[in-house]
Amino acid sequence: MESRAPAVVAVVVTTGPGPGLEAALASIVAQDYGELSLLVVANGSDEHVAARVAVVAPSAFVKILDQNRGFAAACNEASLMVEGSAFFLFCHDDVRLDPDCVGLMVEAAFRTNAGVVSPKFVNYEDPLVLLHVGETSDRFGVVRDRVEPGEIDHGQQDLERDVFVAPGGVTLVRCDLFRTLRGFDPLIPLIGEDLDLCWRAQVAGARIIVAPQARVAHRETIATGERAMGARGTRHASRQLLQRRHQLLVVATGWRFWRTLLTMVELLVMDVMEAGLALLGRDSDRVGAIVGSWTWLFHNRQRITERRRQRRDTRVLKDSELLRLQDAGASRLQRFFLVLVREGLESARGILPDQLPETEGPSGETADGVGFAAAFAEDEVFDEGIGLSESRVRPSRFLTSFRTQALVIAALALLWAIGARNLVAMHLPLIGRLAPLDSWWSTWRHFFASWSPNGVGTGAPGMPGYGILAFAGTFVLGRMGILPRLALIAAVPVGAIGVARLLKGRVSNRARIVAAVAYMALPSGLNMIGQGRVDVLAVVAGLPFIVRRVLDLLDVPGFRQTPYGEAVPFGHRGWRTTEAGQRMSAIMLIAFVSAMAPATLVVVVILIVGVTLARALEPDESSRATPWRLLGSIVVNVAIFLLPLTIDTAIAGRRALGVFGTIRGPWSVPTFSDLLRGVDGGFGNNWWGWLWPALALAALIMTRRQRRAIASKAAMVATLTLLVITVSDHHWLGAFAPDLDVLLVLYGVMLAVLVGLGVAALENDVRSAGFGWRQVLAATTVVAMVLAPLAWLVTLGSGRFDLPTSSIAESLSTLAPPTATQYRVLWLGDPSILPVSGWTVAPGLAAATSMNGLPGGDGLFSSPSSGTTDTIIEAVNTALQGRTVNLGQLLAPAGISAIVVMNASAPQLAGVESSPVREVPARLEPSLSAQTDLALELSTSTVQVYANAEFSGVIRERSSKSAPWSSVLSPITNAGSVTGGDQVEAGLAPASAFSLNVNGHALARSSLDGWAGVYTVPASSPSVTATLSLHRFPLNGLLAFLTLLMWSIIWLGFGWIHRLEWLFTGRARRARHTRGPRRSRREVDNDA
Amino acid sequence: MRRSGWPLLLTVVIILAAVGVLNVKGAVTNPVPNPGAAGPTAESSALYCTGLSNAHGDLRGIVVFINTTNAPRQVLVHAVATNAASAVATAFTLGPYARHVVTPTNVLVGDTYALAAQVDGGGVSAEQVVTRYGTTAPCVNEGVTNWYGSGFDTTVGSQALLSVYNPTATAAVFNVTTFSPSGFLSPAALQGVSVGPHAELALNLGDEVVATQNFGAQVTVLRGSLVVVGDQISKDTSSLNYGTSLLASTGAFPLVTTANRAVAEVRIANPGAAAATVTIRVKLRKFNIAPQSTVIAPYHSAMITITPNTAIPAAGEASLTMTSNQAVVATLATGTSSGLTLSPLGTPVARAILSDVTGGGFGEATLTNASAGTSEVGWILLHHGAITATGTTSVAAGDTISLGVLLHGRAKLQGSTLVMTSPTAALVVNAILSTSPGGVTLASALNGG
Repeated sequence: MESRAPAVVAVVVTTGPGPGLEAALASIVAQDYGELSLLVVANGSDEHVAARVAVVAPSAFVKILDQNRGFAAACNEASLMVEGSAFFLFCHDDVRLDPDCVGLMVEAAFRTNAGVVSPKFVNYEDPLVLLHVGETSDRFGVVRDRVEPGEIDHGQQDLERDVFVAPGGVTLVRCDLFRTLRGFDPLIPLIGEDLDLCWRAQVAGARIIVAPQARVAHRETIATGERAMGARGTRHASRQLLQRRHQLLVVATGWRFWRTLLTMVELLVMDVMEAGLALLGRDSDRVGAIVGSWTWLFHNRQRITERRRQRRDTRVLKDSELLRLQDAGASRLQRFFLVLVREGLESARGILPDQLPETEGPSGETADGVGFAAAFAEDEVFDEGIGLSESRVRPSRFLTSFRTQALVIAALALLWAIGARNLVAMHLPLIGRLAPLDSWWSTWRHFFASWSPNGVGTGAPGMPGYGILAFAGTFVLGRMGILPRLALIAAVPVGAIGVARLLKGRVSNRARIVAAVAYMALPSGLNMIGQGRVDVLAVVAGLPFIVRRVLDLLDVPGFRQTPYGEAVPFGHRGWRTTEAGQRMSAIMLIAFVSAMAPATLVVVVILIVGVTLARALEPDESSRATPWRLLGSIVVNVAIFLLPLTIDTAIAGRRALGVFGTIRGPWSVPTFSDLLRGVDGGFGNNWWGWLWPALALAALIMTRRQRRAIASKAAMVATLTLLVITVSDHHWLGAFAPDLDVLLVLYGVMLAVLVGLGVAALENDVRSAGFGWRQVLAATTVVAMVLAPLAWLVTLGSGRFDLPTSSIAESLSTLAPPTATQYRVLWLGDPSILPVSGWTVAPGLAAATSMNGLPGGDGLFSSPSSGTTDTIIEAVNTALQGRTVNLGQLLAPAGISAIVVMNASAPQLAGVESSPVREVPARLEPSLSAQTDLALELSTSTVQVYANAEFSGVIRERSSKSAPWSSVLSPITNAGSVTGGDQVEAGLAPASAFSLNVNGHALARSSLDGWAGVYTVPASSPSVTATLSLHRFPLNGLLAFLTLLMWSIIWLGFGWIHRLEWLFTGRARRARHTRGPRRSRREVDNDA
Repeated sequence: MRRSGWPLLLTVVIILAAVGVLNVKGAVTNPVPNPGAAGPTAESSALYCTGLSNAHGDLRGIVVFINTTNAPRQVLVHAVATNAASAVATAFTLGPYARHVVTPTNVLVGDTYALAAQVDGGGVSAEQVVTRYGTTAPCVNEGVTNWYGSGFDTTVGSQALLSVYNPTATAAVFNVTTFSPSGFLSPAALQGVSVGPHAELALNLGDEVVATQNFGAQVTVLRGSLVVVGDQISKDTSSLNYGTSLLASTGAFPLVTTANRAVAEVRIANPGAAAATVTIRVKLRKFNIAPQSTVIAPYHSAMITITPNTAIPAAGEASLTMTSNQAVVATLATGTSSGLTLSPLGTPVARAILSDVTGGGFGEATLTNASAGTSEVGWILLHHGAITATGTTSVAAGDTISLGVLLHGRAKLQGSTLVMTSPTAALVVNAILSTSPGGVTLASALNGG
């Protein structure tokens, strides 16, 4: 019966005494494919070949060539000898085919209509080890294997599929295709001819597939060094040179004109870079190969032009279609940068072609694999080196072990201790919020007080910040002086720990450490230390924890990896793990920090809005969070937790929004470039400062998958923060001007998170991506990551983060008037400069007062409601507008003896210390100079002190309307002798809260200036003793107590009620409740 | 559903770009001092006058207070003088739209006088008038820290003094530097000069700058602020050169005499460190007159003669426009061969007041819009404590209009006060007294106080 199978001619090319020739021939002879003929081509004269073939395959044809012209030429010669066959099977002489190999390959060729079919190659000695299952290539002709070196064959690759390159060894090629392509390119004697043939086949529209069921064992004798190259034209060329020039040939003839030009230019750039690196490493062979390959290409330009013309006739695929079949990017460069990032320059240079060790044993990890022309080629790196080197790159061990991480953390702690060494014992200057705190007991009193001396006095509820300070003072046993030092020293490290916790479970420990370092080195925290902003430092320490909890509640991917616990009654153990408990934890934390810096609430709003906006643009796969509900819940509950402040704000009227911060001068806020760097002070205001935002941007670009989900939100929040800062600082939101420095802390947290995610991206996303700009970006990122902390080291030099050692306020010795018992000082300046909190007069100008000299612990927080102090603010504003020349007279009822105008918080001593200079509105100084009753006592570039000629004391008396005022009553007891018939005026507000008692009788009160209480002393006796006393129902105290009670109840609700139950009932605790999802609702209900 | 990352990146980039644009476009500089202090709505104001003298030349005169509001004002005047035993206070009530004259020599006996007036509201201005010659100088609301004057003359028959008053309660310290055609001079005697609080001081510049026809002076206040006026006695004429606190690179003198027998010179001092090229363009009826230019070396002074000048015909009042590549201080010196009076370059204000305090009327009076846009000017004419006319007029950028035309008759200005307001500081008012030859004596407009 006539066979219907297509004829196949197996062409075995052999040269020299190939050690596996007999085995190869025997395996071909043993094929179960009926229409198989065998043609053996002896490449170069060898009289023993015929005899060796005859022993194994007596029916084979043998063709002896005079000289070794290479594998390609031999195959082309053989193809001319054959007529009528359907397929050529080009074989090396060191292969061993399974008996069904040819049949399966032909079957696959027919089934898929493929032009070229490649079998699965396995190790010759160990057939369980895979060598090749087809290969891919990038547009620069760099070939990459599809299997890992040493990969065990579990059948995982046994899927018939298209590949770009059929690796040499055994290749089935349709005869008509081979002839159409004019065979192998004779310009390539060996190394790269398989790629060239396959490339042209693809361009001609032929499919190339791998048929993994067909298995071939390949000995790879050239790769293992068993045989040397001997083909004509290769004797004086290194393998590297051959590889490079054939690569150039493929690229130069493989594309249309413009694509060729572009690719060649890119290749030239890469080669120049590589040559440069090689020169640095004194790698003359590589330099020679690079130069030689381009020279060869130049000398053969006419032949290449001819080939391009020939190939134009067979071109079917467009360049864009061909590109889709290839790997994206530049594989070789990708490998270079990956290894550079992970292992350094030496290793990176080494992985480039032909820098790999030439003999690494037969394991398959050798750089000298076997190419299409195994019998002739001596280097397969061109084909396989990239794939091999990728898998040979060891994962970076830098900062991965526990020991190294612990070491780095210890080093960081040590460095921080060095950087903060002088903060431990130095005198804290009176800048920012570093006014000396009152005693523990006095601080509690400020919280409960019915009256506070802020401004001209106020009966507004005590600020919760005092409660927080007093509570914190308990833990330092009432040594309140420790608290500001603690904040200066520990806030940033605590915040860094918070950042590390924020990223826990989302990125590697290494990334967390880098993020923590970034947070420590970012200027947002360091500048606040340098400016003594203890309130903002509380945010620096607490915000990362808040962000983590809020993102948790918002169900941002990567956060809250375990579901909330099932509902548990309030007060029982496990309630904290429920959704309500988690939300309450977050709210309490936000309230705690907001008590110190109310702008924290704005930060939380920005955070939630930013996440929601990011989610709208890049939806998360599954999120059940309801952001607006959460936002409402947070705002309402924080308002309840900070009830005294909420009431203050509610009664503040038009000044209510001032609770979040006073308006800075638009001319003194950070510029756009400063904002991008998060700078509001001296640190970070240089080119180093750009590194962190650049790293964050790189991270946003590099991250993928879940990391991308977090990065996008961080980026959106950071961007929104900058927008809010810009809009509010230019006074476009009216009185709403949240503290810029608090907002910058949020920006800093987001930058640190992005930096951490960037490290994670380097570890994961960049590695898995195809090569391209990401790798370049990754390398740049690593360099930046190394450089950025170096700038931080510079900041450690002063040992106090440039916190000034002296302050302008303390240097003022002329504040105390010569003749008065009590007096006030009016402080004017940019709100970020003043050493005491105050109220906005105009953009860039805030006013605050201090009693009897410098500000103290009672001036740290001021109620947003200015109340009666508006009289002072209005007077200053009137002077600022040039509408009065009698400011001293207007301020006299408040007992203001001096006005201090500050442009900086500390003296500017070049080379010694400096602090930000934030100028007051320029018209203030001339306006004050124009006052007829103010005398300029002191004038420097940073401060002016004006004495009030109309000052006569806070509590003063006069005998008649035309008589001058004089100061009366002791500042300590508020008692003293007054003259009968005189008028006594008390500059304490609200006047209704005070009464003047003479001989035990309260005097009637009237008012001269609209607010200060005026009492007329009976004329019955010439001199009597008067006492001014405060009479107020302690509503503020009750409110403070209620607030504390609320905090305590909620805190106990986290399970402490249940735990302490036995104290009240005398019963032992019930069985231990299980937490979270392990406990069913029914059990909980039963317990309840 | 997974979306591309581009929308988010694009949004971030757009927001960042917006932030950048807002920061760049919305950049705010610290505003300059407000020159329009003591407006009608002020709760209290002060006026300071200095320069009248009982000792040097014939600089005796009066101070006229003008209330431009419809509410009475209480005015408390403190008068001080050099070589006087003590200060003297006097108070009076200034009725609505009323004027009140204070003669310092009647209040106090001394040499060089200064008055400090405190007013219980705004809208009151004051002007000091050298009685014999009708030359005037406005009183100011506040002291300055830098003062420039030019055109001083200490040649034989002439005398130049600086009258300095310290309006603050703090002692002030200042330096004086002069700029003459031969260079600058910082005489040791004029360095670190101290003036006590509310005290007056007169410095004779002729002691240091001897026999110099044209020189400028700069007063740099090291501490505090001062009110400074230059007293120029020139042969038979005396004038008060109230100078300026700001240098200018452009300016206009709309009423410059070209009459026969008259003299008109623009005297310029260059206090800067770079040479200044100053060009004066003369506009005189339909004559086409080539620009007059001069180059002034750093810290030097120079002058450009307008009258007599063969290139400029004698044909009434010319309008001069000055441009310079460096900020300079310019003063117009006008008069005859028997003496010149000095009138500094006018500074644009938002509220200008022209008052005929001598009662002799004006030879001509003009209003110039010095801004870059058309200005709507509102005006009220006050006479004998009442408003006699009001109106608004539109003045194009750079234009000069005649106040006589505006009021339909220059005679309406005689004995009257004209108050002009515009939304921006754009108004420059110039007036010349009725003299022979015409235009040799200029009247100053008040500074809007």
